[in-house]
Amino acid sequence: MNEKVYNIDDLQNINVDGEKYIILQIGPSHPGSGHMRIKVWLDGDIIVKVDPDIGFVHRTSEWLSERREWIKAVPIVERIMLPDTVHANLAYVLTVEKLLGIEPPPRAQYLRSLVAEINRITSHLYGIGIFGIFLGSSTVYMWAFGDREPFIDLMEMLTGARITTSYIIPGGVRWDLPNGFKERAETVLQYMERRLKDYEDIWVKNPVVQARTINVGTLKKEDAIALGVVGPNLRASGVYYDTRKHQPYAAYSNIDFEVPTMKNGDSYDRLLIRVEEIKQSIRMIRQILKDIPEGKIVADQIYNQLNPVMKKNYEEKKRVMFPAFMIHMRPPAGEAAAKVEAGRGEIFFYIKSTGDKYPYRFRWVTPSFRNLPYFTHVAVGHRLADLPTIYGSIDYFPPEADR
Amino acid sequence: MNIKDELSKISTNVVIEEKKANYKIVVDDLSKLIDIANSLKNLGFDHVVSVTGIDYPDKIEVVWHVSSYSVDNLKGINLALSVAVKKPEPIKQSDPQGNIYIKRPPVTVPSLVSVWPSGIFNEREAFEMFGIIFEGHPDLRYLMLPEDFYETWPMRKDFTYQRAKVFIE
Repeated sequence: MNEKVYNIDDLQNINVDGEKYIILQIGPSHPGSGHMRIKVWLDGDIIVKVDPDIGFVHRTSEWLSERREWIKAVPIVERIMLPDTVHANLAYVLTVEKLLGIEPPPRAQYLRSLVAEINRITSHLYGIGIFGIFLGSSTVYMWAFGDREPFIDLMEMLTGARITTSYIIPGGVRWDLPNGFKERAETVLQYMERRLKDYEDIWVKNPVVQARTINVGTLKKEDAIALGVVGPNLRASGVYYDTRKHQPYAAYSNIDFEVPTMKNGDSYDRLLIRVEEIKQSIRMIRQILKDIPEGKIVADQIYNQLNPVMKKNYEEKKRVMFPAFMIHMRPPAGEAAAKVEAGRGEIFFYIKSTGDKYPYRFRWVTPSFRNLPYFTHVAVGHRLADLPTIYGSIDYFPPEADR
Repeated sequence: MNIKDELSKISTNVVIEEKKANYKIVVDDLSKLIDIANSLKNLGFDHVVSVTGIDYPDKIEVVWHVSSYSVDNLKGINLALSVAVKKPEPIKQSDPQGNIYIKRPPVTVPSLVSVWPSGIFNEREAFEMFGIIFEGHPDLRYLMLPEDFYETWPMRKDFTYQRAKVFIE
């Protein structure tokens, strides 16, 4: 056994001539949207090699989830992906549903897509805001975070919580649409459409932004495929792939939407694609609110487990309380894998059950973790001043990558 | 292209559960792993989604999940490539203070980074969490864990941790 592989951070291990280059440590105290360290080898101010050192916010979500009842993993995965909670929740629940063999009713499917698209808009606005502050524009940062609020209020109206909603449960969702939601949503969507024009004027078509982002951090189509990057970043490189289209879940097979793709794969394209996806999400929310079918919001298997008080509550308030089944849930032995297209990219879950109280193996991969090759491959050859542009444009979120 | 036929040409040991969209290839012989991975890549599976271990009492199963961005009818498939390795016996050791502790040696499998470069960070994570040495990996270092987790392999089922000894007087 080679002892050398155990050196956690040994400079000798990395095949760059240590005498010639300056080694610069960026981080770990918050270089961007969370704690990570980026180790950069510099020749003058040209980047020769980048080594992303992650793990400063590693929260052992897999270890914790393997030692808890199945339903208790929902808040754990949500807290890892804070700007994108609904998708983490949805991906986990889809995997458990595959193990249990439960299919939620159509109304619940539409409600899932609705809350997921609202969440996608907040996630993209978060990314655009962080990108703004990276390029030194505090205006866009304030705007984007301010414009997230109406959408977060929508989520609160629907689910009762602003961020960590825990809205999706195996078999359905917990709340039905409240009165006045459709009108409120239409107001918010019209506001956002107006604001997107302002964003284009002050930010997207701004010559300073274009000068700093066009042809910076370009990832070609073949490289994007080989490195396995995900989400809007992948589509910015021209790859037509979206989990909502290719492995449809929730109500996406009934919703008409386009998957925008770009050609160049540079930082500017990665900005543009997020704006385009917000437009598609707005279109989808309108469709969902128009087409949403009537009916139950939980599957019959779960509804039959409710006791009389809970059933009364369900009929009167359209609220699903947790039946005892949820904590005693023991999915049959087997394994299941599921994918969900979150705001930043694809979440993958792989869970193995032995029919026990706890999951036997709980594996999940988050989009930011799979976007790590952007640091090692894309930043090389650029000037150090371009590194914040690249970091900001890939919408990287360290707590999500570390899990 | 019928995916079932194509997969059964590559390996005789294909498990398909249509309902859960599970496709799994179980590799018996470690030496065949890279060949099978290469033929999967030629079929169109071009990137790794996840690499992980599953710890059993006597063996460790290593699972690569692969998928495709470039071939249209493979885009909807999550294919698992699984290989099981027998765990070596744990070794009892004592440190200079006379405390006896149990050292659990790592297992070794071939690395598939040469086939799929996208697995590089995933394999590093599986290495530190499960003690799986990926032979041929270009950069097999610890990724997330700090130094005091050397050789503890925390995601194995027999991992025990000591609470920090803090005395307040």
